[in-house]
Amino acid sequence: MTVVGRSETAELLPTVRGTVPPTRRHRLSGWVFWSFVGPMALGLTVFVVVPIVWGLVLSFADAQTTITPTRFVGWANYAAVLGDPQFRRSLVLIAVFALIIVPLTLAFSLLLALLVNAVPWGRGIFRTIFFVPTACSYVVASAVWRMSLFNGLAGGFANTVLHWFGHAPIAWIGTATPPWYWLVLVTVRLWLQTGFYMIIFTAGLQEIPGEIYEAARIDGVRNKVQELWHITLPLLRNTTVSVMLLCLIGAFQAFDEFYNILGSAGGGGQGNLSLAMPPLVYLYNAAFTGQNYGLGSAGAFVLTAIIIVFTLVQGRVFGVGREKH
Amino acid sequence: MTHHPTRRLVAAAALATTVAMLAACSANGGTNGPTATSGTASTAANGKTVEITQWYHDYGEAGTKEAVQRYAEEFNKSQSAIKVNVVWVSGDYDSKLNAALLAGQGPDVFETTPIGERIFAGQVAQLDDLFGAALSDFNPNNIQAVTVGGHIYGVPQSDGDGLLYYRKSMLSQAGIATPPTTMDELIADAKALTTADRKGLFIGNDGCTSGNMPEIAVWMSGSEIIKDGKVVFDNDRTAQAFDKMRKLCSTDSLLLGAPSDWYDPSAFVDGLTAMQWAGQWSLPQIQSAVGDDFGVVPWPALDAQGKQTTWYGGWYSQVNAASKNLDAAKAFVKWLWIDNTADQTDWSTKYGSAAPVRASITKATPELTQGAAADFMKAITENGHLLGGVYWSSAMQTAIGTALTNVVRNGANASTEVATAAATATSEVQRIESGSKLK
Repeated sequence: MTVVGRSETAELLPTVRGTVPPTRRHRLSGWVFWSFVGPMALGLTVFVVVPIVWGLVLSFADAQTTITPTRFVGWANYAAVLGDPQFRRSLVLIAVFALIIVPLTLAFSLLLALLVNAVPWGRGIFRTIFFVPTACSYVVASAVWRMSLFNGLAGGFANTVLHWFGHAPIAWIGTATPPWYWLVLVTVRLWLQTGFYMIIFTAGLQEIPGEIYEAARIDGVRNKVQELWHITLPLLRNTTVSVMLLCLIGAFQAFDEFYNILGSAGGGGQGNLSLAMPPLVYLYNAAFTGQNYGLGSAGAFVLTAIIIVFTLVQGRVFGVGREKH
Repeated sequence: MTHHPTRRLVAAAALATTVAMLAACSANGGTNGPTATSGTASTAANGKTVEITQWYHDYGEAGTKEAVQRYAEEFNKSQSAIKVNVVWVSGDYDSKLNAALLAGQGPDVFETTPIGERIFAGQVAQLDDLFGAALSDFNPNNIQAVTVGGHIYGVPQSDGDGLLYYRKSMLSQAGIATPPTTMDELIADAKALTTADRKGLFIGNDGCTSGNMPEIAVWMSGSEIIKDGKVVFDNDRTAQAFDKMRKLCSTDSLLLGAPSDWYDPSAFVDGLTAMQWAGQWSLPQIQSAVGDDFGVVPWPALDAQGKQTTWYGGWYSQVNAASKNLDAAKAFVKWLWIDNTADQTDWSTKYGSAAPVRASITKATPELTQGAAADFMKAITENGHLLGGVYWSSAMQTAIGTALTNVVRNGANASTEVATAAATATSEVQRIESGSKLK
């Protein structure tokens, strides 16, 4: 967003800026600027900046059952949260989750984009069909996955399919070994987000000029596989990196499907979350159930730091925004 | 978490919230700091009506919401100085209540399970002076659960306990004469009751940590969790009990992955399981679905030295210590939960099945002296352990649950896990005491 009034003044009068009183038009445009930006800036300050700073303060304080702490404890909350094996397990869990979900999402959304892009007619219809799950809430999808598709009864969808092959019913969500709940967690996120990333890939595909394919054919590219490998994928590089980045951040922030599929059954238990508790659920419990806002905030900053590190490393490895050569 | 908002949308939302916020500020006169309290600012002194807010969690039983609204309406009609607004809070009640109390927007009156932390944090008002002669009529254990330093911080509303429901016909088909009273019997019976399309036992979809099973596992060994402010469950008996739970859960006779969980009688009613650990509140639904073809027993004892056991617990009415209308809030609590025995009787006997917290009400309710309802009442006095209490914290509960989970699902060493949980519990008790903001 450009600062209209100021920058124009600066461009027009680079040498005498500040000595000439602003014209009425400039004052007006400044007023217009702030009337548009002001509410948003205020909103961002109140709802984003203040909470972040407040959280940072809390993370260094003894903030049990209070958000206006008076006793500061230095790095004690960070030491406590990193010293808790449950939190460390949750970090490992979410890294594994990301390692599974990111490549799968990339592969499926790219495949769908290529297929949709290749159909001779009805592209819009297919795009819409595949995109629709994006509009579905994680909570609703989780309920469908838990209660209908993957319930543990013989009549559940997945168990009905197993029955056709003569297999006994499986308690998909409550079984610890083998960990069938991974199948449930991964498929629900795949279903929900693949369509969204497919749209981004489709946009990327349509950016590739047709002439390049023509030129490639003249240069001896013989089949579709070669075309994909030598033309399409290299030219989709920036799109792929962005998708990977968004997908990775989303995976690290996973909460809804874990909370709703594995969530507590009441009566004091963690439900099946004891099998797989992601960091955000751990922090939610620490802050809002345990009322330890200091520990919760410290953990949130640890998680943020990890996401930033992963993002930077990924940017370095894959060269986000690097010019094509 | 999973949104992809455009910048314009964010801007629009920011604008909308800013406007809403400014409106809210001006409505409060802009004087409310972060510690300011709820309720509409008004005073009784100038003859105006004081408005107070009362929160309930979402009871599943039909008619409960209408009932509490009716009580408030009766109170509003009985006088003109105070007007009560009932708020029915669905979803994660404790988190919402904690957040609201902290943000200074908490209700003036709210119901809660006995959570000592809020009392020690100074968030809850003393209610000693409300009871009068009625105090001796309340179950003393319930009163103890909200008493700190000799002061009472809540009025018990109603209790309920859990028992093991079993289908009589299915037991006799499987050749089982009497319901299980020890863990070995339970394991054998659950196995005998399992068929191709039915499991023997349902104690929750996660197998062992819901339905307050971790606490039950301690109690069935004969041990207590906390006694006189001391953590006392770090012993061999508890470790043996945890190992026995592993034995139960490693059989193929437990129902897992049912569409509803243990607190809902659907799995039992639909015949998906022959036995289910469930609450007293499920009694009417089970009675109307299966008639006389069921019975209830407490959770089996670990062995001959153990004890048949169950939990009981319930909801307490508390007053927000930071309420601007403290006197009005206390007056309402006294009117409804101490003086008004008619509404209390209605509340604890008409919606689902519950256990009254007052001896006089139990005595005057014939339904509670016969059949399964009588078994539930008897279990409270003979096998019951009160849930929660002033030294109870969610971190402690999680620690015990994690220990049992690790033993049952990950094959961890029971003695080590019990010791770890006990250490956490001990440090929690110390933290709760040392963090006290009470004068």
